Amino acid sequence: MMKTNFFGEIVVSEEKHITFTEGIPGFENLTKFVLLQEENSQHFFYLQSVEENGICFVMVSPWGLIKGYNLHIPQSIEEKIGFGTEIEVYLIVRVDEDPLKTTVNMQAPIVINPETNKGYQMILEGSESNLRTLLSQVIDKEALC
Amino acid sequence: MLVLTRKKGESIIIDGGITVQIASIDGNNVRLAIDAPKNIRIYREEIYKQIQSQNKASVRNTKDVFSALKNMLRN
Repeated sequence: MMKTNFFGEIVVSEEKHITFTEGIPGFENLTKFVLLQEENSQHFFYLQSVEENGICFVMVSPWGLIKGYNLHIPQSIEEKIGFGTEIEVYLIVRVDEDPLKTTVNMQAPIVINPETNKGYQMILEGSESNLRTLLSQVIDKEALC
Repeated sequence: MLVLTRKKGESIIIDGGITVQIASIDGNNVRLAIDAPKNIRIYREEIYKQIQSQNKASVRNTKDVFSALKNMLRN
């Protein structure tokens, strides 16, 4: 049983905890998270810290949602999270009160290997604009139902 | 903090496995050549700090994330 600020008390068995061995930048001390799906959308997910109730990220799965999304995962990253054919990719969303100002972080995707339950936040080369891309500009609205 | 003086072409070795060489010097710019195992993460400091602060700014701070987004996506 774990307490969370937004989901109340939830039960996620330890074997489903996702380990970010190196934490994620800004939260290097937090290594255990759980992945929760937004019940109203197949595209939205939450990454909730096991160790701190109040730390939760909103994420989107880019496939089929962000136009033309593509990511190359280098071997060095696969060595960190384990080789797998089903590596999951998520992008952290910064939700603004004004939804038109809501941004998505294209520069630092979260990758998770569901077979090993290991995760890692990649940092791609690129311009600062990729850090705060307007979600409304990259989303394929036709993909949503 | 350890401070070392190096000339162009000279290197330092960190922990046996990481070599940092001064590849070239041109005015204010110093070009480094880093030889390290693949699992060692090397970032320009300002980029890493940008990711840190963006992650901190992205922590969910409202219960109702989704209805506002859904409205945007529908419009």
